[in-house]
Amino acid sequence: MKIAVIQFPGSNCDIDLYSALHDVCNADVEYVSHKATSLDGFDAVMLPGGFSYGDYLRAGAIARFANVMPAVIKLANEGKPVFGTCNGFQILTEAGLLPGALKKNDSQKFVCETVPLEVVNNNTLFTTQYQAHERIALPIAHGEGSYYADEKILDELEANHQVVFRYASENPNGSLRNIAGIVNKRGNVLGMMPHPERAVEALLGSTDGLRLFKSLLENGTVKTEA
Amino acid sequence: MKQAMTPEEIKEKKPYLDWSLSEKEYDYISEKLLHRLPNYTETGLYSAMWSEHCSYKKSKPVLRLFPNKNDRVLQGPGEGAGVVDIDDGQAVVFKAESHNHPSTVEPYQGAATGVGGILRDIFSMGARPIASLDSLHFGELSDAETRMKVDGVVRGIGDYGNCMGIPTVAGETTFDPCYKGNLLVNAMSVGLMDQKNQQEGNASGVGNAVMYVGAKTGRDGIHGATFASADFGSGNESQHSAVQVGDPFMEKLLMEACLELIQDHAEWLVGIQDMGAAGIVSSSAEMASEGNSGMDLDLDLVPQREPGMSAYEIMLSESQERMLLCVKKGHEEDVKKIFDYYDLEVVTIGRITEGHQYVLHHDGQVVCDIPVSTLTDDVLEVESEEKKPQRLIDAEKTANWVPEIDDVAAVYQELLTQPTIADKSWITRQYDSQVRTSTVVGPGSDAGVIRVRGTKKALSMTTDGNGRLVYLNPYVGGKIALVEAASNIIASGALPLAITDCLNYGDPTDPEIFWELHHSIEGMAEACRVFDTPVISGNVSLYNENNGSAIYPTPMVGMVGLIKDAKYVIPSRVQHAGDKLYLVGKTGDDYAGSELQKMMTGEIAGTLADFDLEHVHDYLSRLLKAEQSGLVASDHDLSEGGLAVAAAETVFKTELGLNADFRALDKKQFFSETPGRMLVSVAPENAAAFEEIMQDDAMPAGEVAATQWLEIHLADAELNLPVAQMQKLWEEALPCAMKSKD
Repeated sequence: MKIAVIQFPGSNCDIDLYSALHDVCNADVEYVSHKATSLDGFDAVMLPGGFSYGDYLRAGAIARFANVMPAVIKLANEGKPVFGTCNGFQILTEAGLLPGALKKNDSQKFVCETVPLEVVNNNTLFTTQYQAHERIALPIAHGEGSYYADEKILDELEANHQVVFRYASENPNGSLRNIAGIVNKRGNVLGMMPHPERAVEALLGSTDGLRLFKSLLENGTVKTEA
Repeated sequence: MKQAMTPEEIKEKKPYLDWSLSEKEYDYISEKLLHRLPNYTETGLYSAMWSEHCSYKKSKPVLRLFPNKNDRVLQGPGEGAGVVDIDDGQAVVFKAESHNHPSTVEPYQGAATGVGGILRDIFSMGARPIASLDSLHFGELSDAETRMKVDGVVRGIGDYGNCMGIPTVAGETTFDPCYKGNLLVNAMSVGLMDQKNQQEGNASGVGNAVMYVGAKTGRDGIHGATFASADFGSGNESQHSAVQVGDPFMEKLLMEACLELIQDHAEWLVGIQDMGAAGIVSSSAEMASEGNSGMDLDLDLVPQREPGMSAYEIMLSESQERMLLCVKKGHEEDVKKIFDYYDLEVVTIGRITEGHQYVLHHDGQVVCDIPVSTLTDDVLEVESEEKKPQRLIDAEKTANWVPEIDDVAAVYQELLTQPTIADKSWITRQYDSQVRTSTVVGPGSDAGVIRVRGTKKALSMTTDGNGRLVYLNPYVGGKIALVEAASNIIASGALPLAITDCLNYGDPTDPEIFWELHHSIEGMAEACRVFDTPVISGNVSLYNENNGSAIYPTPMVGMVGLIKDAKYVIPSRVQHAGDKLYLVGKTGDDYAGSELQKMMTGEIAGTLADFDLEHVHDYLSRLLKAEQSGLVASDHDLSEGGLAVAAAETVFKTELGLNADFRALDKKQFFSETPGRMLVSVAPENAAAFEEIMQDDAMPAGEVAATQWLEIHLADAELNLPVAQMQKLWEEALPCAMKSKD
């Protein structure tokens, strides 16, 4: 399984995603420039955290117009795994690959801490190695992470089991229904504010994020071989 | 373009006095260096380059007291940042810089651009920044304006560092009334590089190109350097235009482009330097001076954000996110391609010339034609008068304050809520401390620790300054500043390597203040020699005054240490119930300048006891050896609030408590701030080996408890306090103080 990590101008968790995949999971991963127009040959794509285009206008609002985005959308439409964390999640909502939007944190402040999460749906490409309703802890680091969608969409997300992660203790940013991460209806596009790539090595304090990448590598491989 | 004044008018009206150039210096420039009157642009360039900020003309004689070499130092002071060998062909690059004046006037932008400037210093050396630290000193939080400034400074540091993707992993924040009108923002950056990539600010080779890269030049920050070298009067508001505006996104692009050029195409590059204080003039003149070259620049080619800028404005603008490169002739287009990819400005604005003249063209005219060295090397050093401060002479005649403690539990709890001591999570949560996934230890410990990818190594880093102690005794306070930093580094399990500093003082033309500067440097320098931690970079920030009242003399020490194997990073919090506790270092009756004194008397007064540096170094070195042998489970340095605060902090945010035997100390000594002490925990099976190494320098002090209680036995008191309740007081104090509405 060959994975692309997209580098937008201002991405800064690209190295973190790349290292988690390459150094820790021994995955086949490559950086791809935002100027690229094709993702042919890739089986999955990941949008890293950071401040693409300086978060000017609105987080993710400019990145959605990057040259590479039509290729990302094409890959998503082919049912291949697409993953976005933090700024990557913001870009996925701005690009319409995921419903809803991410607003400024209720506190109006950037927040960096490790928070408890509930794995709400362990039956996605990205979460099969977790137990249902398992509590894990992952780092968050964002200023615009308050998930918003209208009631109808929120109800649909819940009905379709699209809510994958929920904040399990204090809600750190004001996200509606404590939503921390969602998938699209088809289940191949995951966006989440927490950073699983920051929790893959015991030396750095936690390995709770590792199983997300391992789930994907396992399921992605099965899928491509099948 | 017409100059704003003729040379004769300048001589007569003396506008340079407002730019902090003295009449003596002006006369020296005209009569001895140029043998003619300098024109308006030239006068502006001299006033900026001869400012204390750029030339260190006042502090140089005492800065020479610092040691700045040892076997590991690859680059000492004088370049963008210092460089230290960390083996395997790698080097750590670091520097700290103050941004006190801009942050006082405009806290958000002042602090943000402080971070931006220090990051450029690091990547201009060829290193990738891997961590940021800060040292912040504010007035009291009871003051609404101070609260606004704290909020602005913290947001500024956070927004810039977070967007750049550089983790902010350690720092300090203190509160004292003396910083109310002149707060201190010291930012430190640490970078990592392969030694082969080391760059310098050098421009040489006749015909080589001088290339401008990064953001456009605007009118912001003009005369920032001289602004930083003058006292605040009333009416700071009018100085707003001297504060720069930062754009971290631009800087991120600039960093990636510069590192790509340096790492992949070093052969195209002769030299590179940040356009920091005094903008284009300082970077270009310093590079030409370093290369012993002449330089010819055409200012019409400088990318400009607004029309109608004069040569003077272009040269002195401190617009952010700009770099100056010297590129080998013929590679201009190659370099341009790299910067074009990142949509950055990239323009050849001049060439290296024969001879040593610094020539500027603007609007078809030569607006400056002066020898390069007159800007950089001919600055008149200022011999300063010095005099022992009267307050120190008076203090020696008065007995030191001794606390009388009745209810030790009440004092303990109140102490934990003092803003200087209270939990700083309200601040550090606003900083991304984990980006780049290398942070082994983040904020809230003695030192931040970053692993070096692809090796077993880790780097430990800290910032420490205690103005109160330096105020009471500059020499001893200077020694303590260094010992405190070294203690923090050693507490994390690292060998101290070297330091950077920010020397924050008042007006040096006041003989008492210059005496403070001189004597605190002597104290620091002595401790640097004992710990073999040379000063490899730093800056001096003088004139930190408001309406004639100076801050405490506040030298900030930024230290970096090396951990050979990240497996032996030592946490500051206890790990296992049953582990043995030890108090390392002797406790004396040291209350002058303590947090306890401030809390109980509302003032800082008294004299400091001197101490035996060699002895402290000896037992801390043995402690490090014990840590490196895997004998130590946790180690927390004692600083403000003494043993009392350290005992609480070492169990906070754990599930454990202490059953501490401090019966060698009485109630007041529980709060004493004798330097060079640590609270250590050791697994029972390692206790004998640990005691063998530490001998009399580690006092057995009870053990780690399984229940969350602080059970503390003192000579004249017993305490049994619930950790949760103590932690709550400590955690809520700062957010609560920030929320007050009065």
